[in-house]
Amino acid sequence: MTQLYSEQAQSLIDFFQQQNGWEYRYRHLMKLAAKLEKIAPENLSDDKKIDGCETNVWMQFDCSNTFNFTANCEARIMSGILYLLQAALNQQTLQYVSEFNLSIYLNQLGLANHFSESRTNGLKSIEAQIKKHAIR
Amino acid sequence: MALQNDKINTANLKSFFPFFKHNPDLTYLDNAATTQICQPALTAINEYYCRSHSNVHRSSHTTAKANTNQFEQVRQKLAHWLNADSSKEIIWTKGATEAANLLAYSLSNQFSSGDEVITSITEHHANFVTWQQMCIKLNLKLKIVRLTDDLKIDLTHLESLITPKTKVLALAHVANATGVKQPIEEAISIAREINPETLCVIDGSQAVCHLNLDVKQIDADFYFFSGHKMFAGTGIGVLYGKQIRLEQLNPFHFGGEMVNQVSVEATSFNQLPYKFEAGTPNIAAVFALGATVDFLSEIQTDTVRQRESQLIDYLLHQLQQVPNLSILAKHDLVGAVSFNISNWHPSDVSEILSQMNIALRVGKHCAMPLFNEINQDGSVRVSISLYNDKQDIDKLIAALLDLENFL
Ligand SMILES: Cc1ncc(COP(=O)(O)O)c(C=O)c1O
Repeated sequence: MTQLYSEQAQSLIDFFQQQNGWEYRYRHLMKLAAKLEKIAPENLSDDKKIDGCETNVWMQFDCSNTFNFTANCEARIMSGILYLLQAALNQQTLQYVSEFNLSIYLNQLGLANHFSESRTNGLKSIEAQIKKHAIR
Repeated sequence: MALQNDKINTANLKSFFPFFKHNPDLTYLDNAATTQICQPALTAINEYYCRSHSNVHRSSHTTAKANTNQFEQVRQKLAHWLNADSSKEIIWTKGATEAANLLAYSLSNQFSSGDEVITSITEHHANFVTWQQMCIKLNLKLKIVRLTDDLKIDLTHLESLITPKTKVLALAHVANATGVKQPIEEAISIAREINPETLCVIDGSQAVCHLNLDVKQIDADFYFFSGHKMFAGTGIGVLYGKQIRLEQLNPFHFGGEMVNQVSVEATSFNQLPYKFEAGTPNIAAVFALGATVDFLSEIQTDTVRQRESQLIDYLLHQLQQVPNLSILAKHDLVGAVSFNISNWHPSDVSEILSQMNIALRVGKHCAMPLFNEINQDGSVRVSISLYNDKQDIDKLIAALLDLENFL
């Protein structure tokens, strides 16, 4: 299964698919953490915290026009994953986001297999928040 | 149970733990969370279910009687192993958590509003939350003894906290989040000196597989631990209590076996220890625990103990060679070392180490009050056991040194 991606997400998929071995994928995820678009410090508040993640994750949505979110996380790997989501979803139409399949995306990136049950559950909570904002 | 070979090869203790045969590439350093089950315990479980499964204390057919005998023999074995006065002082529970809950609940009729319970922030939630909730429910005062810089109970502060209203002092023998052995003997004698009626409750979960336990020497009123932290598998725990103290407790659970006479109007309760063991117990797990104690009595020699403490010293020394690594507490460590690496979130460390087949634990280790005070992110905890060796530590250190290649 596949789906259409933004140019940015497609090039991430291409890059990740060329990496042989988990070390390279993780190294790149850690690098991507630096690119995460974060919530402005003055807007960071507890009500933006997502329940059910292993490490604290905060998300702020702006869906006034296209879909957009900013996010914070203390851990680097999770920040990298959040960046992968921004690359795929930000500036897309709400329609696109509401139909987006996260597990296909993670599979194509070659990451799904590496994730623990609790990471996967955390990602489900994040996906639920994303859908909630896109469908509204 | 006698082991096959009379001379046990303590150099390769992993061979007694089938887990390692099935996970040859895994470096297991998460023993504070749970230890691997030993072969004698597995054999005991298997034999019980294959050959002699039936209930205890009830039926009088042959297998049932034999089971009851064996069940009570294990109790005696544990009493002997812990140097208790009698097997009446050994109560089976599901584990440490149930033991803590049993105590808090069963003691509650002895408390009145304004009484005090003293504990510390370095407790496991099993001990901490249980007493905290009891205090909230009964309007007791929860007093928190401070920790010193090396994360030990501050005995001077403790002294200032004990009053005539102090009912319970609840402390861990070894703190699970930091590995620090606490000065419980001193704490107990300080408490008793000021208020002889203080009930001293010690959580031995992290001590049981690392220290030779002698409940008379420790002299706590109650001491408890889980079987799965000492190679016996899950579902069983031990609550030791001084007989006079146990006699004063109300039952925790009601049901079969814990009663003496029951009429429509009233019930009189069974004697110790049965008063606290309502319902069919986890018979297989009790047998597994018995087999484990036999096994440990044979292999946990001074040499093995010594090797284990040398391994902790080695671990501590090697960790200090890793750049930017800071250790939470360095003194009197038993079984575990807890640390942080600057610029690394513990969860990232564990995720990468897990990809490298190294099992350890990160986070707040069921001790949130501690981390609320010292470090919001939690820590990385490496915990060893008698089967770990130098190679395990070397693999860990190599993996930690490799981390910087991920930045
Ligand atoms: C110090 C301490 N107390 C209590 C417990 C709870 O043990 P259990 O979950 O087996 O009841 C643990 C387990 O991690 C522990 O380390």
